[in-house]
Order: sequence, then C-alpha cells, then structure tokens
Amino acid sequence: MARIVLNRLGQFAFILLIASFLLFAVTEFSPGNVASKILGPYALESQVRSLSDRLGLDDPLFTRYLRWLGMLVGLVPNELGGPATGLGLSDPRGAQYFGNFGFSLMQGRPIVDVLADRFGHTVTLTVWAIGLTVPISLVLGVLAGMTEGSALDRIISVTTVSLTSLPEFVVAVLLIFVFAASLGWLPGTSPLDPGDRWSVGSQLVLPVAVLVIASSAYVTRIVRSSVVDTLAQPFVRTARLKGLAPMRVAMLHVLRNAMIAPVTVILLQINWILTGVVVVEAIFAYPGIGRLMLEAALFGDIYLIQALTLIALSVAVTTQFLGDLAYVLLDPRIRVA
Amino acid sequence: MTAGADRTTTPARAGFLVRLRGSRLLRSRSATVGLAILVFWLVVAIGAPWIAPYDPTAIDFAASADPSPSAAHWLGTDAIGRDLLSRIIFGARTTFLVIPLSVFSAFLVGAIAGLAGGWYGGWTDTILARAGDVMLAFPALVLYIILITTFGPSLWNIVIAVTLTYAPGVARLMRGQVLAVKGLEYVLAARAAGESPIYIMAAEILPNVGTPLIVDLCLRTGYAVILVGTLGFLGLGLPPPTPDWGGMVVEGVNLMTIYPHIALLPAAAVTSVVVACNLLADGFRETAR
Amino acid sequence: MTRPVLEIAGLRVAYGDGADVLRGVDLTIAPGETYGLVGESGSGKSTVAYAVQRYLGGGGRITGGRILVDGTDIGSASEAGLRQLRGRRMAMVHQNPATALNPAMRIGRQLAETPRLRSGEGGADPTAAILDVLRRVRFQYPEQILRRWPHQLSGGQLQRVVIAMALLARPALLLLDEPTTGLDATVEGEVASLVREIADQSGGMAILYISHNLGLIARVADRIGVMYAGQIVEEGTARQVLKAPAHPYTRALLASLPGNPLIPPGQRLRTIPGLVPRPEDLAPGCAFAPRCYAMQPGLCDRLMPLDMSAAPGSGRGHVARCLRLGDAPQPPAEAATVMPRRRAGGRVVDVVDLCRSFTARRAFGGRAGRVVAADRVSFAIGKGDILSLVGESGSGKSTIARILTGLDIADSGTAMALGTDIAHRPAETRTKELIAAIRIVFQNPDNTLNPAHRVGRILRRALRRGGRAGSAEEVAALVEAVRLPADAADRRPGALSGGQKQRVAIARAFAGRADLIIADEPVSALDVSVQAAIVELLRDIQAQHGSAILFVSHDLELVRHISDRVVVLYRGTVVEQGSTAQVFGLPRHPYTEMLLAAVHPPDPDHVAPELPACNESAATEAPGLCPFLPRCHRRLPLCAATPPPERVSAEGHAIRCHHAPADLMQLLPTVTKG
Repeated sequence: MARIVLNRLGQFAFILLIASFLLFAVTEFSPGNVASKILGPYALESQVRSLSDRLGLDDPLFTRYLRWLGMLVGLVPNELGGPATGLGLSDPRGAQYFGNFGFSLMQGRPIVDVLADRFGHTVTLTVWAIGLTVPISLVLGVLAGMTEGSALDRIISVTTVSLTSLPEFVVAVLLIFVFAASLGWLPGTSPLDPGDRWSVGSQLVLPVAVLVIASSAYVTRIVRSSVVDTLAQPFVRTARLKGLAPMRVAMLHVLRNAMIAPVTVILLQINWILTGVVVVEAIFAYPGIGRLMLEAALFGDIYLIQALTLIALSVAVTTQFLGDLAYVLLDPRIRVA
Repeated sequence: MTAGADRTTTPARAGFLVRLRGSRLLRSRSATVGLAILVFWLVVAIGAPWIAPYDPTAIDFAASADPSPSAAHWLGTDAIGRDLLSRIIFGARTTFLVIPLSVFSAFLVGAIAGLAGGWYGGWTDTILARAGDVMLAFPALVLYIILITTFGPSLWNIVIAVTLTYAPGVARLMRGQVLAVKGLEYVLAARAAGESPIYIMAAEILPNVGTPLIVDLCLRTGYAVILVGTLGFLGLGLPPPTPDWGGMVVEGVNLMTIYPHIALLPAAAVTSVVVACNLLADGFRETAR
Repeated sequence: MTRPVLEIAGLRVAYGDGADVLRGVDLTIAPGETYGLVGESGSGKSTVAYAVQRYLGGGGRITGGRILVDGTDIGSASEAGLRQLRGRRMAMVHQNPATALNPAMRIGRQLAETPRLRSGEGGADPTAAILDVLRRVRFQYPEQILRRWPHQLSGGQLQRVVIAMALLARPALLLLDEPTTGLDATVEGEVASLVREIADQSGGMAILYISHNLGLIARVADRIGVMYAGQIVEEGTARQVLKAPAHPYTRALLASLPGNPLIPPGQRLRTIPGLVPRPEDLAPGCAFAPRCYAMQPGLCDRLMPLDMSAAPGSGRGHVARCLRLGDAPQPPAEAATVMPRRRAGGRVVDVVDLCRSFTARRAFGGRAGRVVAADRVSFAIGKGDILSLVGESGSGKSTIARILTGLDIADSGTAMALGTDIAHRPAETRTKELIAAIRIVFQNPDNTLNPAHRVGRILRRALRRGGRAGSAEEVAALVEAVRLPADAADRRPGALSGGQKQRVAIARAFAGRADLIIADEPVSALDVSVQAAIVELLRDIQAQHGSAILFVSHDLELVRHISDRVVVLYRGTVVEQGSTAQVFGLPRHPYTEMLLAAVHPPDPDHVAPELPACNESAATEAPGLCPFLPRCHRRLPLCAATPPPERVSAEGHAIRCHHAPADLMQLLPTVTKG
C-alpha cells in the first residue's frame, strides 16, 4: 500500500509542477507585458528596457520559470525590491526567504503580507461551508437513498436538482433580496468591519449559506445515488436474507460501502468551493483571497495572480491526492492486495 | 455455463439514435419541457432584432427616473433607462452564441482525445490522461480569470477557456465508455474482420456511447451557462455594452432594495436555461433506461 | 407423516403490471429431502426461491396461492416474523458468490453475524461453531479464512463460505439458487458433492436446489420438479423423471443433450425447435405446445392442462402436466444424418511453440506478476476437421483463439496459415484473404452484434470484407442458410433472441471463404433446449463449406460428440492431445482424468469417481515444472524436480507427464452414493 501512496504522491507532484509551469507561461507570456504591467501604462520605453534587463525578462521562458521557482523556495533573491528599481518596494524579510511570492503591484507591499491580511477570512468561510455541507448532505443523501421512491426521497431529490440548476450568483442575489433587502434581518454585504452595525457573525451567515446551498445540493445527490447503488448490490440481499435487523444492514453493510464514492467527491468539493468563494466574496465584498484574486485580475497584478493561483492549484492537487488516499483506505480491495 | 440468453431482450446499450426514433424522447415530460424552453430562447435569440421593442443600448432618460415596469417598458428599464425586455432578448443572443460554440468545441476536443486514449491505450492514453489531470487541477473560475486577464475578454477567449476546462472531463467520460465497449464481442468481431480503427470508432463505438455523452452534453451546457453568467457577473464577460445576462444581474444588485426586478429578471433568464438543460439531461437518461 | 418443511400451493407471482411469471406452482419438500427444481431461463425457478423468502425485488408480488415454511404462512407473516424465519428457519445460497459477500468486511465477521442473531451481541463466542462449519465445507485451514477479505478468495472458496454462512443459521430449509453456475466444472463437481454430503448428514434439513443443469440435479436431488414457463410440468423421484420422463418437454430436453447414450458420438443431436416463451407471449393452450413434437392440433393448442396427472406405468408420485400423457410418443429420431464432411488432408493451421504471457495489473498501477496464457503450445488443424480446445478458465484457450483471429499476438512461436505466419500479425495488418479465411464466433450472444446496426447491414459488411458484393440477394441467402426468418435482416439485434443472434453471428463468420471458423464457447451462454440446434447448424454449414472448426469449450460431452481431435490445456500448457477416442479413452493425463471425473450425466445411478480434494496450501509451483503439479493427485517425487516429458504414442496420442502410459491406465476409485 505504501507503494501505491508514494506512486500517487509522485504523480500529483508532477501534475503540480507542470501546472505551475503553465501558470507561469501564461501570466508571463510576453516579457514586455510583465515590465509594462509593473511600471504602468505611462512608463517610458527606456524605463521598461532597464527593468527588463534588471529582472532578466528577456531570458528564455524556462530559465525565468526556474528562477521563479527558486525565488519561491528562497534560493534566488527577488530583484524587484529595494531602492534600485525606484518603485518604492521593500520587504522587511529581505529579498530571499521561503515563500517569497514577490510584491503585489496593486498594494505596493510584499504578497506575504497581503495574504496574511486576507487568508484567514477565506479559511473561516470555507471551514464553515464545508463543516455544514458534509453533515447536511450525508444526512439528506442517506435518508433519500434509504427511502428511494418515497415522498421524502422525492422532496429531497427535487429540491437538490432545482438547487443545482441555480448559479451561485443567483442564489446570492435571491438571498440578499429576501433576507437583506426585504426582511432586513441580515446584512447584504460582509466587509467584516468590526465597527459595522452588523456583528461579524451575522455578516458570515449569507456568504456561508450561498456556498452550503450550492455544494450540499450536489453532494446530497452523490450520496443518495451511491446509497441507492449499494442497496441494489447482492451482498445487501445476502445480509437481509440472513435475517439481520434493518438497522444493522443499513449501518454495517450499506453505509460502509456507500461512503467510498462520496468521500472522494466531498474532498473534490473543497476544490469546487474555492471557485464558489471567488463569486461569493465578490458579491458580499468579503475581504478574502477570492475577492483579492478578482481585484488582482482586474488590476493586472501578475505576481499576486501567480501567488493566488499557485495556492489554488496546491489546494486542488492536495485534495485530489487526499481523495485517492481515502479511496485506498476505505476499499479493502485496493488496500489489501 | 450461464443458461440464459435465449430470449428477446432489450440490449443494455443501444444507440441513442435508435431510441430517438418514434420520438420516444418526447414522451418524457421533463425532456419536452426542457426542449420547449431551449427552443423558445433560441427563437428569441434569432429573432431578437424583430421581436425586441427597443434598441438594447438606447437610453430612455425619462424612464430612468422610475425604472419600474410601465406601458412603454413592459419589464421596466435598468438604472440608466435601457429597456430591460430588449436587453434580455438581446442577452439571449450572447448566451446562444457563446455557449453552443464553447460546448461544441469542448466536446470535439474531449471526444477525440477520449476516443484516441481509450482505443490506443499505452503512451497515447497516459499522455492524454496526464494532460487532462493538469488542466483539471486548475479550479475552473481561476483558469478563466487568468486566461481572460492575460488575453482580454473576447468571444474566442471564452470559447478557449471553456474548452480547456471541460474537454478533460469529456475525454474521461468518453475514454471510460470506449473502454467499456472496446472489449465487447461486436468490436472484437469488427477488429477480427480487419476493419480500420477509424471505421470501428465511427461505426461500431460511437453509436453505442451516445447516451451518456448526450446526457453529459446537456449537463455541461448548463454548467457553461452558469460559468459564462458568472463571468459576466464578475465583470469579466464580453465588453459592454453588449447585453449579457450575468452582467445585467450585477448592474441590478445595488438597486436590489428599491427595484429588485432589474437583477431578478436576468437572473431568472439564466436559471431557466440551466433548468432546461438539466431537464433535457434527465429526459435522455429516462429514455435510455 | 411428518409435516413438510416447505409447502407451496397454487403460487402465482407477477412483476409490475406484467403477466404472471409463476402460473400456479405446487410443491412440497419433506424434512431431510433434497428437491431439485430444474428449468431454463425465464421458467420462473429463481422466482420460486425468492417468493419463499418473500423477497421479490423489482415490483414483484404474490398474486395467488400460499407458501408455508415450517407451518408459517409467508404471505401473511409480519416483517419481524419474516426476519425470524430468515435468520433461523431458512437460508439461501445465491448464484455468483463474488458479489454475495460484503467486500468491506472480513469473512470471519460476516460469518459471525448469523450465530450472533441467535445468541445476541453479548452471547457466547461463535468462533468455535464457525470453524466447525468451515471444516464441514472442506476448508483445511479455517482459521486463515476468518482473517481474509472476500476479494482474496477464489470463486469456489467464496461459494463454500456462503454455504457455511447458510449452514450457520442451522436452517430447516436451505435454498440454493444455481450455486455453481459460473464456476469451473471441477469446482462445480466439488460444490455439488459437498451439497450432497451436507444433505446426507444434516438430519432433517430440507433443501431446494435450483439449477438449469440436469447432470447436477441428478447428482444432488432426491426428487425433481421440471419447470417450464412458470409451471412445474413434471415431478417425481430423480430416477422416475430422468430415467422414464413422461412429459414431452423433459423427454425432448434429455434427448437433446450431447451425452445422450442413444446418440453415438458424431451422430446428429436431437433439437427442439423454437425458443423459451416469455410470460407475456403465452398463447392459450399448453405452453410447450408450439415446440412439442407430440402436439395434437385442436387439443394442445386450445386447452391448458390444468392438473398434474399420474404418469402411466410409473411409480407413485410421478406426475406430469400433459393432455396426451397416456399416448405421447418418444421424441422422434432426427431425420437427417450428419452431412458427410470433406476431410481432404492437408492443414489449415499449424501452430508451433506458441507462447504468450501477460503482466497482471492491479488497480492504482500495482503489478501482480506474470500470467502465462500459452507456453510452447503446438497443434495442427486439418482441412475440414473439428479440433476442440478444452480446459478450465485460465487455461489459455481463449488467448490461443484470439491470437489465431488476430485480436492478440504471440510473444514467440509460429502459426502457419495460407503460407504465412499469423502468430505475430494482428488483424489490422492481415490480407483480405487471410481475414476471410479465419473467422470467429463468440460466446456471448448479447454482445456479439452491434445493437445499433440492423442485421442486414452487419451481414452486408461481412460479405464485403469477405470479398463479395454484399448484394441484397447474398444477404438473403445467408439469412436463409442459418435458418432465420427472411425479415430478420431488417431487425436490430435487440429484437432477436439469444439463439437467433448466435445464428446471425454464424452467418457473419461464413460470409467469406471461411477455411477456419474459431468457435469460442458458441453455445455455452444459450438455453439448454436451444444449444443442440445451434451446434447442428454450425456443423451443417461447416460441412457445406468444407471449413475446419477450432471449437473452444468446457463442455466435455459436447466436445466428445462433435470433435475429431482434442487438445487439453492447463494454464497455457498442452497436457494431452490426440483423437477424440484417444483423449476420452485410456491412458489419460491426470488433469484430463480430473476433468472427466467432473462430468456428470443426467443419470441418478451414475457413480462419480471420487475427486481428490484440492490442496489449498500446496505451493510447489515453479516455472518449468508441470503446471498441474499443485493440484495433481498422482504426483511423483520426480515432478518437483524436472519438467515432465511429452510422450507420443505411435498413433499420435501425446501426454505430457512423468508417468509412463501404462501407469495412467487405471481409473480413479468411485464413490458410492449415500
């Protein structure tokens, strides 16, 4: 089993490497582009020229990619900081440290600092979203699957199917309309400003609700269909015809096997929630990295985009790996050869 | 030995074209409703210049004082006095141009990659599968954001972005289907008869993997509508003033408390298309049974 | 008289809104009795077993009649009452043991569930009882089995675990539904003899044994009921039903088996026309009338035989459901004899030292080692000959068939056909002549034809590939040659029965010049009553074309009936080959001996040779040595040291074994049936 795990680990490291190269290649597609993005639209030709020389922007793409990787792990200094460039960028940690993403052009300070302000907020949002999605969808999915064809199953199925048809931004607009605009129970924006007349907790309700509604509808459907499939397996028939009590059949024979597929899906859902986070943070003006991503994109802050995308990629690849790992652990057919 | 086959049975997998015959699809209620909604929007999209009462970009300053629905503007106007009905009608054009193009492109690329990977196996398969894994590692929206901020928002960049994010999923599905059918006796019989791989893929495999692929096509079309709507909503859609449903929603959000219709009506339009796609997928699934 | 354990009266069952699939079934089983219920697919035999447990999935419901298990009415029992019965008074063993056990629970824990039902969670440790039962189902090291996961056991081992699980309930009624279907013949024989042993030692347990296999039923059952289209059409003791069948269906079925002693090898098998009817297609009158040789117009096709009547001239309890019971004749002999074949001399294929092995792969990219499918296999097929490849699953017989067809290529060795070596030429690179000369008929009729294409299109394409024009006339001629209705060309495979699909597959194979037809288990997925007709069709067309056939099969009776030569394979090695008479006669290789010992004709008086039990832990396998060594009951010290020599007699009978031919002349001792 250790070999299977190492094998997958290697594969995912490889995927991450290739993906990060693609990311780098796309964002630093043309060297002139990078320099003029740093200096802004009114920079002189000579300024662009000298910055390009300084940063080695005319080197081959692959060289620049290796230098970028080196900078990330603290092996290569970041040339952008310090007074020499005249951009007024400086980093108290120095030019060389592990996790050096460079400078945010939009905010004019090290990306690590920018992330430190925002990262926690997004973690709060996603932890709440996942923490609520998992129990809700497990309970609803198992209930619907176990009672396939019943009124309860139909209600759950129709609701989840309808909810998966709603884009997150529509769900958000509807929730704002009902709870903020009409009823006035909750705030329509969530800047997490402590001085706001709404408490921080109440500001979290709607953003979390949007994420939970959209993703639990999907996960519920997966759990339901997995339970239905497992119930149709001959070994469940064997267990029932052995005269076991229905609860025992349900807990030991059905659920244990029915959970194998959904666990993978739930882990992949974390990845999906990250996409949802961009939308939700944008709508609610929530100060997390999702909105930061959007701001960076609209500003053209390439270093910030690189940093945020790399984080998203790492999360995605890690969850895929964990999904595979869960699969291996749950299914004895793979674990014990 | 398994006794058992000597009875007339409906084959587990028959071509979807076989089933479409006699319009069995239309006997499914969800498919009929889904199809009706899509046809409605398609007609609206094609006939937009003749149906729409106003130019979607024309500003009626008088109406902007009170954007509520009136005799002149049945669905009201947006905040700056553009006729909402006309904008929704022209917005259908954007949706029905961007979506079919992107989904078609994603399916073309994905289906070919999946067929090739599943059929040839070995290195071809490994390389295609790894390439797909790399693409799938990018969260969809993040990939759009990178592509569109680097290359700018244009119709073709949206098409490319949708293709890159959806093609790997389509390829995986197609590959699985090919692997399921590849070892079946009728495909072996065709190989043993010396048929060319192209003939086998086109005539023996493709007709029998249609149903799951069509279901997936419907579902992905729905997702694409959501994603393109989201892009518009985030301000990354087609540049203004092209009416774009997602963009119309965001223009209305700030007026939510006073004039909710400005955001809710285009939101309803997007949702109706997604619902229609999902209903159609359900219909295909039912008829496949 | 003691109360019967199972009493079924007038049972009718329907699924959904469909017609009744059981149309009035009556049967009783006394304590200690083993009742064999035999029937083809769609006869409703499995439905009986599920109705007894009131576990009819798919919208099934009992529409009439009554079932008493141990005096309890199943139809009116509460759910809790049913559970009491299921855990304690009855137990069931299903077909396909691979899916019958929970893949995520160790064997020991699954077995312990049943005794715990009885004693409660805190009760006595059931391990001793479990080990005892595992020993009864012939596990030599039961402690090891407890720790295993289901996927670590073979099919035969799994089925013995499932039987052990059923026995742990100490049931009054044991239901077995096709328990050996899908297992290899030798394993099947072992399970059947185990069931017989359990029946003999159970002390009062009643057994309902359901099967389509008359030989197995003969082996285990005291009494037999024959089902056809949702009714029992004949019932009696095993001897009465099998030795003196009264119903024309039973008579025709027994006569159509290739092992029928009245039909010497080489002669034409007796066939039963038509197909097994579906419940919704039943016409008024006797359900078997459309296929019955004794059908009397105006009687059988109008009146339904309502009651069972005593078979004339037979003992007590032998009854049949036939209006012509008194005067029905024996099945007529086949009018036509076997067509003379041209066996012109010369060879179509000459296989020399063919080798092929695969790397077994596991999920997630692990490697499990090499599997040898062919190890220096050599044989030749003469023009117009029928050569059979026999062996259990994993013997490599299908791999050899695939290599000859060009669906796979050999690692080394040659196979000469039409002057070229085809062992390394996949079909994609073969000439048109080669492709037309070597064609294949597959096993599974449901997948053999592309469901998206009409029969006409399939045949037209085959004709063109075979170098012909593919005109409508040629298609029609092919359809006629395989005795299909003329409108079959316009239909899609979904509208054909399994037998009809197999006819199309045969037509497709003979669309070209067809020097060699590779028939890979062509009838083993078909109903028993349809098999004979397909075999005879294959032989007729072969005789017309003068083609040779490579017949891949595990059905030794059928092989004996139709083949000229036989090649016996074990794990990719030819252990014996020769003419049919040589292989089925003496001397014989220990493996052939074991295969033949597993053959059981539908004769309750047949005495089966005692099969030596498989030694689970014998790990004397090594490359180069005799592959059969781990299972061999005649092994010598020499066998573990050097590979066995191939000894060829003057008549061309080859046996690969250390034993001298003279040592292989005596037969296994036989067991007397208890």
